[in-house]
Amino acid sequence: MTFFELLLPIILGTLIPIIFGMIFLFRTATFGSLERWPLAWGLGTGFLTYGMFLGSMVGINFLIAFLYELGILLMFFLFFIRHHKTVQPNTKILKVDWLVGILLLISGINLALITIRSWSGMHTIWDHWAVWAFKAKIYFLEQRIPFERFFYDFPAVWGNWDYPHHVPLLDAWYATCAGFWNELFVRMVPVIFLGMLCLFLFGTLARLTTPLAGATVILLLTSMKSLKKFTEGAILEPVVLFYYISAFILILRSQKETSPFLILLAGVMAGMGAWTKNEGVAYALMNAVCLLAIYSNKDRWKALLIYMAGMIPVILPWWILKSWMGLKNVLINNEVILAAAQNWYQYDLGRVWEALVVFFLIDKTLLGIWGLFLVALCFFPFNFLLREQRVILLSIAMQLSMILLFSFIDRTPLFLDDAFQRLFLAPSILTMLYLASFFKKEEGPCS
Amino acid sequence: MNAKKLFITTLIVFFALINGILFSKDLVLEVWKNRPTYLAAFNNPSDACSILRSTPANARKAYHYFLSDLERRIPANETMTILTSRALPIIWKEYFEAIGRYHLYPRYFGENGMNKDHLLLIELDPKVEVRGFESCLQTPNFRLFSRPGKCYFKNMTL
Repeated sequence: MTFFELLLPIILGTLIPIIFGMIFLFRTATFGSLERWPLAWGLGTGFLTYGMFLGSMVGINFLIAFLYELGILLMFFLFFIRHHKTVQPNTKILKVDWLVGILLLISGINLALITIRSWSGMHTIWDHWAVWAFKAKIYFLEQRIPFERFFYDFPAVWGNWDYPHHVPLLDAWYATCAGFWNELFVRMVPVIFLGMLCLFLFGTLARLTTPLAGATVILLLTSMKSLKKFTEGAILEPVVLFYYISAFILILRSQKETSPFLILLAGVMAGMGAWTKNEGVAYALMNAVCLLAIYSNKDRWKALLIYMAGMIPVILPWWILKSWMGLKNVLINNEVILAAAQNWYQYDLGRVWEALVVFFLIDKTLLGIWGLFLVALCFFPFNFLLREQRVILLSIAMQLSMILLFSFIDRTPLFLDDAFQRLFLAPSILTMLYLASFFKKEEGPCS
Repeated sequence: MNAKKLFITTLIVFFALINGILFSKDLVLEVWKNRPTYLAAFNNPSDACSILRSTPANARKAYHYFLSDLERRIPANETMTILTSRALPIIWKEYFEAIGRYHLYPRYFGENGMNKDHLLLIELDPKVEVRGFESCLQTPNFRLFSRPGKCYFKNMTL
């Protein structure tokens, strides 16, 4: 079998969720075409795996669950067609000059090479295979999540059973489309999400600021050594970052465009982040704080309610099931927190700084980004900043606090280095957004 | 303020461009240098993680075949890094340490100065509860992975 023989199931498995997502975004004119595709992908894959998960809970296999979902979407589609109003599509054409073209070209080369290395290079990180991929294989073989076997067949297997199921189900979905298992499906998912994140960031920034800002940000993103490492290792960082960053940007936009739909969509995307990884829950809560910060008193609680209405239903079924099955969080749980609190005096800040320095020395791109961020902080006083910029700073501060808290809770050197590399990605992308905001045409400071 | 903005945005674009070119150059060189490996994996994606399956009846045979095959193929002066799932290390560790030629890293490989000449990933089928060496051999499926281009079990039939 060659790679090209796998292309058909890969294309099919990718297009179906995108079509699903497009149906949800059918009547919205608030997105340019470049943003619509990644959002449709994010929503569509979420809808797909959510259905597979709920189907497994009631004991039906993936194919039947898929047919149910198809039926639901058909009803949605017919409803939209019936109540169709003419929506002016966003047809703003981006003008791309030579500099933007060069930046995009280099980003494209980087992305292509990361893809080649991810799909055919050797494994560099073990976590994905130990925690996620083998679950995907079981789910594919069983054609459902065999919850009942968690206790009987897998008690001695280290697999972090408290982790949510979005990506294993997506891997299993590709295998189901193909009708057989291949490791390539597992390697492919993070790469697609990285590509979608780039597309989303470029589309949004090019439309809301300038194409140069969008191209610069995605070039920085595709030059990040840490992100490359996790993508190649089939680790889920690109997936959770895609959901987190898209939810964050949607929140920023919702205030400016006074759109409840954007808040709801941000809630769903944040919920998807939590349905991908446990730290996605923390990210979703941080986005909720940003939402409270960006809205004025009058609209604050209403916005939060809409956000929660999008987020909670996505993650609630798994939480209920997890609690019912008695699966406690492996890495962060009451015992770990209590032990850390009791041994607070053993906390070694020097070790944390060491991990931080090593991390920055390894990834020069991040060193540069944070350096530029500090320069920008010195150049522009806080009262000069726009409301969105202040919210980005708030989010960065929350992210850094979370990293510090994590280093306090789990002090194992191996986990500390690992956690730093992973957790620093989100604030680093936020710093890029902060820097990109200076490309925007002049506006007055917020009141 | 506009001058400051122009300065910072120019700096950002300049940094992104230079950094992106350098990053891209390293990636291109790496992929070009190892193109046979990448091409081999593209020609046979499943070989990127070559899978050996065995049935309970011939698991023991497979195991001995596997080890003797390794002994035969790896030169005596080379070491090998073995990576296994966390359920398994103790069993394999004892064996490989006894041989004295291998060392075991249960979590990561390709890091911490480990030998990269030969990498092998052994994963026990997750459906099986591991209690000891014997249960390992009775595993209905155990999977042996190897690095692309170094597929020790490519032609092995059981």
